[in-house]
Amino acid sequence: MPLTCDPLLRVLRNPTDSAQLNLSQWDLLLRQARRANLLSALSERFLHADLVDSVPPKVRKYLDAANMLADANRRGARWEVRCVLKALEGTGIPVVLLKGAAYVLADVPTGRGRLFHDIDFMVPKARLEQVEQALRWQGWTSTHLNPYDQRYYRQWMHELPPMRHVKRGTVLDVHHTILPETAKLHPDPEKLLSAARDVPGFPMLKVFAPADMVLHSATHLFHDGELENGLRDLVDLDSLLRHFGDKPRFWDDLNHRAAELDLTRPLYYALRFTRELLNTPVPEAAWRQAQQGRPPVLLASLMNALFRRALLPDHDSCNTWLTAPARWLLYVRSHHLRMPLHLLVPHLVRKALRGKVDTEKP
Amino acid sequence: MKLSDFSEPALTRQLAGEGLVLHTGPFSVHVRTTMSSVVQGLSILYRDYDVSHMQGYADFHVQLVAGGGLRRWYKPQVRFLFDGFAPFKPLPLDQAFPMFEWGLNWCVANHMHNCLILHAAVVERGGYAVVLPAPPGSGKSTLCAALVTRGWRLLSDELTIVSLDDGTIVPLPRPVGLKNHSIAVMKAFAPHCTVGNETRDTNKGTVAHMRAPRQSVEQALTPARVGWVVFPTYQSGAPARLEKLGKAGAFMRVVQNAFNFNVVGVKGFDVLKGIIDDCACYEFSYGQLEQAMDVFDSLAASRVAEKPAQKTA
Amino acid sequence: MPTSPTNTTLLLWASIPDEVLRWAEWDDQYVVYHEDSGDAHQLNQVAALSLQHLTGQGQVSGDLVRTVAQLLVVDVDDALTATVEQALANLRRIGLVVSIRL
Repeated sequence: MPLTCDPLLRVLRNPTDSAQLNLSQWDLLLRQARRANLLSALSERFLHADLVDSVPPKVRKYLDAANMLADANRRGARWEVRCVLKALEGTGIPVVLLKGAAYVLADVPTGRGRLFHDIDFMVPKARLEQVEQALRWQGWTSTHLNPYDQRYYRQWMHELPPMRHVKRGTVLDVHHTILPETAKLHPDPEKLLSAARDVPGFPMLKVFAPADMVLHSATHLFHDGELENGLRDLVDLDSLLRHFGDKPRFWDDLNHRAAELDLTRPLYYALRFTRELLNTPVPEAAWRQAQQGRPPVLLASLMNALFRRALLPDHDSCNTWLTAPARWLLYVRSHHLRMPLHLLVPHLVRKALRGKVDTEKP
Repeated sequence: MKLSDFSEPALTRQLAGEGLVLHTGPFSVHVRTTMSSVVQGLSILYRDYDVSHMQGYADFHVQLVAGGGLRRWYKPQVRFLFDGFAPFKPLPLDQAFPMFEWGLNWCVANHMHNCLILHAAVVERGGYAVVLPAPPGSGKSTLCAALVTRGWRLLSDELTIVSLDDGTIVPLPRPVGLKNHSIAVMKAFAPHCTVGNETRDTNKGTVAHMRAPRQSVEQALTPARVGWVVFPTYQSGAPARLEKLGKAGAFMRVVQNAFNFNVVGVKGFDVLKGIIDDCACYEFSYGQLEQAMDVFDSLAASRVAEKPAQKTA
Repeated sequence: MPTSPTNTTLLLWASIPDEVLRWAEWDDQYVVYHEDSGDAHQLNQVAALSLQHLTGQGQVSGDLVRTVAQLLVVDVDDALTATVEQALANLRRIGLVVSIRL
């Protein structure tokens, strides 16, 4: 049963199941979690379920280590965000954090045990130049210096070329919307920005409203599609849905907002796969409503077959002979959804010639 | 069982099949490979280490395999796989054994964040350890290799693992890496030491590894307290010179040589502060190993004279 | 990189909260560890005393110079003033103190 990715999925679904693992299953769990970049998330779940003491000591030391790393990551993100806010202080432009940094600063549980490198944030497109300038003054410089990459980002993408700090080496991804300009879907960045919420204790800092946070995560995984950390991203979604799902109006908001932002398809996939792989509790009414984003039957079953494979960690114990083709098809799909064919083909050729297809974006 | 219980053909079969779990310090490493140079390196340099069959659990699962693609026909390569994943670019085939050593260092440095890990050699005598942090080219490994042939216990030649619980050094005795002319220097200095095959043209030049003394391997589970932090510099022809170093400056230099100081946070700071409080810090330059040995002998003697090694953290 | 304002006398200086700082001191040489940034910094005596004194209170640099002079039992002079101001600029650069324009 290779599509189950046992024991990782089982333990993520139900941490108390770990009580039944023998040492060689613990060994496999550790390996799958390492590969999926989920070791600290796993550790966090054991902590939360008060199960840490039942973990064999050999494995426990790596969970502790993963915790240290996640804590350091969180401290680092907070500090870097402070530095960004200081750099932009004079501009009066609010910073809307995205992804990992947003989970950390907004203190949602998803931010615990989550590792990430870059700080992603969004500002209005009209202020992009001013933001870039202010960041330059404080030591962040553009990383992709060749003219093709610069043009690729500035003309087609939804973000500036990543900026790296000369001293700290940290990387910022400055977005002006959540999908490339050339993509098929066009969520309105104005709507996302105006619904953003304040972060207590940090003037000028905001994060997306709960529904938008979920939709962005879903879009990133199922539309913009870098599936390298597919299961990690699905675990994020699971954790966001569990966290916000208790609030009374959340599920209605979520479906409405998906329709409003043109993101019903990614939401459909998000709910489908979090339910199937991670047993995420989704109210029946919300699931029914999310069918508005369901693809036609044939496509739905194809996508199901592809995602069911590609969402699992790229580890020997989870791969079948179909895994590699599934990943490849989804890779091509994600690019196709990012830009039309007449732009895509020359772009991929250029990347292939540079031999960087698998290692570096763009 | 010990690795030396396997004949080379038996070892070859075992490593090509289910593999073997090698126990080095606190780590168990499940190794699989069909590369004869790796089998040979293991049988020369790891003969005194405990090994076991893969039953249930190992800290790290590593493999050395031939690189794929067209290149294999005209320029064969080796890849280091960490549980199926390649953290480095492939290297020329004859660098397979050094790649195994470098790969193992990577495993430790990337997964042991519950300890403070320093880029430093560390040896022990009389219950106290000397930490030798230094950038490459400082003669740290040569000094370390020489000391362990003269009665110092090898704790590690490359990665100093500091426990965050009590600030002691967790031993990781593995073969000592030697580079370029230091290979010949060591062979002349200690004719009885065992040095494995030389590998030329690596990005560090010619490299070879010296076998860790058997006693060091056998005492791998006995931690040691830090008695001294010494920053060595090799200077051709210079007399051996030991100079006391300000502790704040020494602290900062240790931090610069740490792999994960920013990961271990406040705990790391507190532990390192405790170490620097209790130890003596020196700058050491030397041009001759014999002279260096004398200096370290008198260091060890001073600590014994000062007080018995009884104090606990 | 930003340059420091030329006229620091008009600035109110304050340290960041001291719960994120850890100290070590050996023979009048100091190491301060800043938990948020994860960085350790070596400080001389003037910088360390300035930072410690600014914890929990704002001060203009003139007052701070007098305080440091008292602590070190030396006279206030141009050299000390320059040393303190240099220290403050460095501490601000590494994010351990902030300055507010009065």
